[in-house]
Amino acid sequence: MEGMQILTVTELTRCIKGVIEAEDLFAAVWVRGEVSNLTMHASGHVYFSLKDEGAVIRSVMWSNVARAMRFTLKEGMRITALGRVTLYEKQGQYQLSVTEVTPDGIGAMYAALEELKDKLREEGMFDASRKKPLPPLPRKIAIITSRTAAALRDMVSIARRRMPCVDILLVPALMQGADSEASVVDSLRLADSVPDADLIVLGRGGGSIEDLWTFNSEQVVRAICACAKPVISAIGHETDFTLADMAADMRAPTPSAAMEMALPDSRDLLSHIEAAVSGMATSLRSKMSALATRLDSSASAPCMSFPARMLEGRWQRLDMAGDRLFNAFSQKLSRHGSRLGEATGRLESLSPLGVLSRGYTATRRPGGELLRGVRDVLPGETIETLFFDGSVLSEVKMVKEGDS
Amino acid sequence: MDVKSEINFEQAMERLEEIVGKLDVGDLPLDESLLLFEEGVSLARQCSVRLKDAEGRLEMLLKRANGTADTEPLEI
Repeated sequence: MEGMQILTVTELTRCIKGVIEAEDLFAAVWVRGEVSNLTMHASGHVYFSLKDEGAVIRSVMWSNVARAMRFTLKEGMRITALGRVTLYEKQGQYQLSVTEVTPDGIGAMYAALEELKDKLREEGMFDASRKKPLPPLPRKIAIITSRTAAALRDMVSIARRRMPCVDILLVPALMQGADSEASVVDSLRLADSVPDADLIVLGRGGGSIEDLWTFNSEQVVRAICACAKPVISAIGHETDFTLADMAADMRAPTPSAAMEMALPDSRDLLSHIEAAVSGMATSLRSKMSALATRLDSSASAPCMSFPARMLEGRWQRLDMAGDRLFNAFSQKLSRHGSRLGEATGRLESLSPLGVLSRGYTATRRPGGELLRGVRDVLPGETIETLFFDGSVLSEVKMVKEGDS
Repeated sequence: MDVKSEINFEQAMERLEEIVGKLDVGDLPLDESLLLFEEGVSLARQCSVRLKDAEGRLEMLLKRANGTADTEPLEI
């Protein structure tokens, strides 16, 4: 042994490592094999073996590579991996450090997808002209998803928050796997046949590219296009784009976003209505006070001392009409929430209240214009007299002009 | 019926806005203003009643073996 060079284990291993990792030897090799012994470590690193009939090689995919993958590795999956061969000294084991993976057959899958997309596009399946508008305020939404999907709970809770009164009908379907295509097509037909549903939402959460592949199926695209009701498609995450999305009348980035597109927020609409009511009240109030000013100045002119009586009558009728409107309005609305009630309360300033309750009445054509004087009325005509507590319809027997 | 009533909601909101605009200009005769106001208030009431309807149903469609479909209440 004397004179011989003795290496430590570490020294020998490093020598081998040096040979294997020499720059241009195995720095970038493409290897085809089947995934086995797959372990997804909590750190994000993925350990597995690549094997074929004759051999096996340990492989590792570091977390930065694993995170950037567009699909998930599965046990038994056949892949082509790009990597460099390294040696892990502690175990004396060489391994493939993988930087890129393509599932075998995915290239063919994508080529077929592009072909199908072109074919369907030529048929006009994705044309903007065939997109149906969404209903402004749906009463019943048919949701197609899996009964157990987390997306279902999200969609229902968003619907309840935005428009509590909307009806929701789940049309359950298998959203992934071999039977999902037939199931989704079937559910689309069923949902479209529900008479009182006015919108269909097709939704599922994110998943691997294989999981979402159902929504690239020709039959699913055709079933979406065949729907008479508008369809919103919400498949996967924002970055996932399927043929179903292209065929639908509207594409939502996520199931939750689909419900936000489908339903306006009832609170926004109610405050809009409230603003409209108070806007009308303000306009009318300013109109009335402008008229009152004109009436006062005209009535106070000496030459108007007699005709002023007719104007007074008119003013009373205006007061009465305002009161009646306000009463009818506030009675009906007070039942429907205090916020609107507050807006209507501003109407009280429209006119002095209670003119009618002091015994005055006013007369108009039924449901129509106020009668300003006897010249507006013909014998035989039906007129409506308004009291503080209701109205009377009468037929005119005679018309007498001048002081009664 | 539903399609019709949805269009009506949209139309009612548009008509309400139109009325607000007309009253805002303020050059209409008083009688006409009052009639418009009455119409607007009624539209506002209809629309807000529609929005404040009772909470909607949550159901699931069930396919029967004979090809018909049924619904049953759904718990989330």
